[in-house]
Amino acid sequence: MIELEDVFYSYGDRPALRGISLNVREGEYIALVGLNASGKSTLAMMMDALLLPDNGNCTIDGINTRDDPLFARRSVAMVFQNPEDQAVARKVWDDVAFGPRNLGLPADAVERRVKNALIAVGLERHAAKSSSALSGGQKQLVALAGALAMEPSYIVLDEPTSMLDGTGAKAVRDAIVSLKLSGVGIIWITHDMEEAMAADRIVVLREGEVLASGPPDELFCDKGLMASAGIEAPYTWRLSKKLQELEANFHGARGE
Amino acid sequence: MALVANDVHHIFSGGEPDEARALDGVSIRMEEGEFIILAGRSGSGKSTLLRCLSGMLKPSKGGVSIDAMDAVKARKLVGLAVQSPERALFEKTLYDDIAFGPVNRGYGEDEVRRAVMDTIEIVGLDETLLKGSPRALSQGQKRLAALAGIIALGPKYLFLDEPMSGLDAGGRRRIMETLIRLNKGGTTIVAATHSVAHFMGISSRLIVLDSGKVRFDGRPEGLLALEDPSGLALPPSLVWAIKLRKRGIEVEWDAGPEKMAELLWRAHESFV
Repeated sequence: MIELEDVFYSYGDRPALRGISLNVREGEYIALVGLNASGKSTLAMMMDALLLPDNGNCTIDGINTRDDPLFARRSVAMVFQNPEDQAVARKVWDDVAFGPRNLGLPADAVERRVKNALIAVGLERHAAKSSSALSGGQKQLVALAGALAMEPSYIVLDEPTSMLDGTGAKAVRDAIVSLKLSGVGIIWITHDMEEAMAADRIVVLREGEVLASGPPDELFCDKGLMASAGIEAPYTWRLSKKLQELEANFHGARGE
Repeated sequence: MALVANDVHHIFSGGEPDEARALDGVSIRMEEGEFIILAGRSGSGKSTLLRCLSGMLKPSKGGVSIDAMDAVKARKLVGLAVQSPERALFEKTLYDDIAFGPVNRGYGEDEVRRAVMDTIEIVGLDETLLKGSPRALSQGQKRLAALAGIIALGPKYLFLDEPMSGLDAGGRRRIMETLIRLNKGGTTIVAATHSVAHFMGISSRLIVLDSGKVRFDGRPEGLLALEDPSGLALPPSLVWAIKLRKRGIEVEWDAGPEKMAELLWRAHESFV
């Protein structure tokens, strides 16, 4: 489990996190939402020990990130918004193999992991290509494959689909669903409520604090909360609510 | 005056094993003052076309002319905002960042000041931010600041690559307002995006690229008639409108969820 306990963090005199407490279990899928500058990305970097709390604690499977940041980085993989920030090698295969090789794994294990990761994101045919020949969306899938090849217990995705087209975004979402089913904890940062709808739980941040946390259906029904968080219930959810209502009326009229 | 792309082809790593054909015979004419969405899935050639249109990349074959000049020579007429342009904010103050282009073009001090002040008004950034560091701005403000640096040079043609990505609803709205304001002032806008959703309703023309070719060129509502619009990240209302249309039910692309649900329900009732 990832456990954040009353975590504070500031960039100089600008507070980014102000007493965040939050748990993420293995196999749980959380959508982290909130306006720009609400603290989402800072919180993500906390979980991966790229940042350490000024106050409070962040533990990964019981181990404090302050005591063993490398353990956190092995357990929690990160995928950032901009794939250009994440490429480390010229060829796709080498890029995905970078992490497993750094773990000191034998060559056959590296090969198996890279192959599986590329298949999971649908890029197996591009293994020998140079990363520079790929589109932005494909580069993002390479970054995701690199994270998968680490076989992490948790994966934090910071708006991973914002630069992807419909097909690429679907490939990422499908890969994430199968990861969740295999027991990996997912923390998905997004501005897209249609995307957040698929999560087990939505955590809403505002100005560095947790404003609300709960199942999507519960949160979207709370109009006051949605307004104060500056977010709108997604179209597809509103459509399905209306359809449920129409169905209930239909059965009601037939006296069922 | 207009921008004309004539049979534009571009190949990356020509002759190498990883040769990639990015553009495969694109011919487009863009009139002054248009607001165009350039859509297409990842790898369809959008970014490459933007670079060719803006004269930043010379096509392998074919040509681009802007106001009857070769695009490479017409660069002063053009502004190109690449993906995540805020990564290039580097000056100590926001003022210096926006002034960077005008200073380098040799504008006098007063002219620079006027360019900066006019620009922040267009993008809607507060004057008090000018003395501060651009790094202290929010993500949405940084995007506007980076755009301001490009707008300050007064481009006649503005090209933007995924201008909305990574922004929350408020940030997207501010970018949109800025683009509408510029367009009303006469700037020709071409915005490349995989997410047509953000631009539906404000742009008059949509060009869809697929494998380096123009697959659709017309009014955005024309998407309703596309056989397979997958890969375009369409707004959910449009996706449902397309499905209903296939069942012979006409509905506008931006119908609200309640109306769409009623129509879906009726279609379902008539089916069972």
